[in-house]
Amino acid sequence: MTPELKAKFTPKAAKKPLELPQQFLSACFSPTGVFLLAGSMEGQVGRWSLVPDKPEPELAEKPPLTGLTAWVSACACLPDGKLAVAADSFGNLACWSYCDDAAEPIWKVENAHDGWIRCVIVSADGQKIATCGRDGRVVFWSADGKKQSEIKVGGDLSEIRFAPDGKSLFAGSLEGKVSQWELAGSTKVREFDAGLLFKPNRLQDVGGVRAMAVSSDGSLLLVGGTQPENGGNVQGKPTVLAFDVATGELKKKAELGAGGDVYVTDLGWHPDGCWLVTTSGNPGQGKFLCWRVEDEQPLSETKLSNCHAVRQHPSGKWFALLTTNAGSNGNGKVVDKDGQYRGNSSPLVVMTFPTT
Amino acid sequence: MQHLCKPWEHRLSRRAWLGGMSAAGTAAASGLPFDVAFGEELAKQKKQVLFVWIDGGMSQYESWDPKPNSQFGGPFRPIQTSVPGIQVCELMPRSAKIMQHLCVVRGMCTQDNSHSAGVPRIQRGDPKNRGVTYPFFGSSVAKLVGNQGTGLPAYVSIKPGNGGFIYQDAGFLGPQFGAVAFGDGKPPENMARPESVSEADEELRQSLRVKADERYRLRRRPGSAEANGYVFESARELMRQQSLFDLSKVDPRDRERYGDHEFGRHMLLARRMLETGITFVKVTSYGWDTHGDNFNGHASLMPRYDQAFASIVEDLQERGMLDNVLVITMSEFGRTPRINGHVGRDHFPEAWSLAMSGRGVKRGLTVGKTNAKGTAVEGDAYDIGHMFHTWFAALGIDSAKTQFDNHGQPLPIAHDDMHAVKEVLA
Repeated sequence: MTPELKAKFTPKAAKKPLELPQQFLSACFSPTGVFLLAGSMEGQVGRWSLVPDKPEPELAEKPPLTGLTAWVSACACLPDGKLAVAADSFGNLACWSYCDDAAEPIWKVENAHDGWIRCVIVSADGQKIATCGRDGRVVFWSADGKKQSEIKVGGDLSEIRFAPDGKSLFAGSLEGKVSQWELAGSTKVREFDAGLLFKPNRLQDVGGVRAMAVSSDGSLLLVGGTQPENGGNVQGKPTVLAFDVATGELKKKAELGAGGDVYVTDLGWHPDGCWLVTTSGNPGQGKFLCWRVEDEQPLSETKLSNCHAVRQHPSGKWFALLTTNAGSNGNGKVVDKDGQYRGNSSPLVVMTFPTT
Repeated sequence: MQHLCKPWEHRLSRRAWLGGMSAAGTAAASGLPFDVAFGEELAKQKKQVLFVWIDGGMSQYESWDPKPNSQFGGPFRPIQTSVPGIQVCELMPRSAKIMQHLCVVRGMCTQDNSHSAGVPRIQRGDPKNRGVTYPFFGSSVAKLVGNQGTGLPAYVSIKPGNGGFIYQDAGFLGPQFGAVAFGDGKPPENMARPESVSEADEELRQSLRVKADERYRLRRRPGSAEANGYVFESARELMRQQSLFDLSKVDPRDRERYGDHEFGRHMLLARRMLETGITFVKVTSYGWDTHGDNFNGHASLMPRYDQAFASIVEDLQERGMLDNVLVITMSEFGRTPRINGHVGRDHFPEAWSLAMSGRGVKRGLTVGKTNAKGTAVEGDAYDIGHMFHTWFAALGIDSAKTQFDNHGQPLPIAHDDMHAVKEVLA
C-alpha cells in the first residue's frame, strides 16, 4: 500500500450533507443517475432528482413514492431506466415508474412474504427481481410482478446477491448462515461458514449477515457483520469475511474497527479497485472505509455518524452515504428547544475521490 | 394504628395443607398431571404471585402496544388477539391467543429512566421518601401473606447467574423476608443430605443447631437470628423437595411448549414451584436493554418470552390456579419512541406497558392508552405506586388500612398519595 494509493482512495466530503427529513434504511440511484430513491422507516420511498450543472451534487425533492407501509428496508432500480421496486417490513412488494410524477405503484404484491422483506435485488438483465425476508424464502418475480419461483432457504434471510453470471444466488441469514443456490434447479451448491458473525446470547440471536457483495468476476464473496460480544446493546468488532466462491474456503477475516463500531452495514465495489465499506455502531459511531482484501489496514477511514449504506453514482464521480444525525440517542423524553419530541433523520453525505 | 395481616388470616388448616402439599409435591415432583380438583381447592384459599421480571426494558412497541404505520412504529405488524379490538405485536402470537386471560396496562408513566436506580425503585413501589429502604414487592408479599404453612420460602427468585439469599430485597422488613434465589434454576449447592449421614443423625444435628440458634438469638438483634432460623428451616424443607428442580422428569411436551432455552426452563420451574404452594415466585430474564439493534433483538427475544409466558398462563388456567395466582410481567421502563443511530431504542419511563393476569384481576382488556405515536400517555397515567395498591388489592390486602411496622414506625405499604386502579380489579 503506497502513499499514492492511500491518497487516491481518501475521500473528501461535499460542503454539507443533504438533509433527508426522515430516517432512511436503503437507497438506489437510477441507471442514468438522475434520480435517487430511498426507503424510509415511515413507509415511503423518498425521491429526489439531481439538479443539473452544479459544481457539487445537489438534489431536488420530488413527491415520494407511496403504497408501502412501515419500514421500507430495500429498494432497487431496474436497468430499463424507468422502473424501481421496493419492499416493506409488512411483506409487501411494489413497483413504480419513478420518472412520472405519479406517486402510486404500477403494481403491488401484498403479502409477497410473511412479514419483513429485508432485501430486494434485480438481475443484471432486469428479467428477475428477487426478494427475501424473515420467512426464510427467496422469491423470484418478473418485472411485471408475477411470481416465477421460490427457494425455501430457511432462517431469517437478511441478504441476497445474484452471481455475476446470473446463474446462481447467494443468501445470508441473521443466524450467520450463507449458501449459494443454482437457480435452474433451485438446488444448494455450497455453504460458507459465517458462524463467526453470529452468537446466541441468553434469549437473543445476535449478529448474523448484515452486508454481502460478490466480486465482478464472481470469484470472491464478501460477507459483513460483527463478531458479537453480547445481546441487548449489541457490541462487537465490525468484520468482513472474504470467501473463495469456488471452494467455499475463508480467504480473509478483516476486523475493521473496535467493539463499539459493531456492524458492517454495507459493501460495494469501486471500479478503481477497492471495496467501499460502511459501519454503524453505538450512536454517533460509524465509518466509511476503502479497503482491499489483500491489505491488513484500510486504504482510508472516514468517521461518519452511524453510516448505514453507500451507493455509487452511475457516473462513478461520487457516492452517497446514508448516515444518522448526531445526538440520535438519549433516555427519556428528550425535547428540543421548542419543547418538541422529534425523531431522527438521515443526513446524506456526498463524497468523492480526489482523482474523480 | 397497625393493620398488619395476622398469620391465621391466611392459614389453611395444617391437616388440609399437609394433605394438599403432599398431593401437590408428589404431582409436581413426578411430572404427573396436576390434580385439577386439588388445584381448584388451592385456588379458593391460597394467595400466590408469579412475577416475571424482564430486566433492561422490553419495548412496548414490539410487545403490548404496537403503533403500526406511525413515525416510531418500527417494522413489525400488529396482530389480532382473542379479544376483539385488542392488538399486540406479531412477535407474540401465543399471548395474542390468550388475551382473554390478560389485562394489559398501557398507561404506565414512571419516574426513573436509569437501570441502577430504576430497578429497585420500581420493585420497591417508589413510595414517598421516609428515610428507610422499602421492601421489594416479593418481600412485601412474603411479610404480608407469609409462606402459608408450606415450610418453604415465601419468596423465591429464579434467575440466570448466581443464586443465594438476597436479603437486600427485604429492606426494613429484615433479612428473613429476602429472596431465596435459584441461580440458573438450580437448587442451592450441597442441599442434599449426604448418604453417609442417616436421617436420625440429621435430626440430632438439627436439634443441636436449634439449641445453638437459641443461644445465638439471646445475644443478637432479633431480626438476624430469626432470619438465620428461617433460612435453615426453609433449606431443610427444600431438601425434601429437591426433585422440583429436576426438569428431566417433566413431560417432554411441556419442556417443548415452554421452550428449550433459559427463560422457558425457568418458567417451567416457576410453575412447579407455584404448584408446590410457594407464595411468591419471581422469574428474571436478562438481556433486554436493546439500545442497539432493538428490532432484530426483539425479533428473537419476544417469541421466546411469548412461548414461555403464554404456556404458564395456559397451565395455571388449566389447573384452576389462575384464580389464586396473581401474574405480573413487566420491566423497569419501556423503550423510547425515537430510534437511535444504532437502530436501538433507549429507556423510556414516560409511556409504557405491563401485563397481568390471575387473582383479583379483570381479564381480556387493556387499561390506559398512549397517543397515536406512543410518545405520551393519554388520559389517566399510572405510576408504580398505583400498581402496588392494585396488586395488594388483588391479593385481598387493603393497602389503605394495612401498614408495615418498622420497629414501631408505622409505614404505608404503598405510596400514600396513590390508589388502586379500579378498572384493573375484578
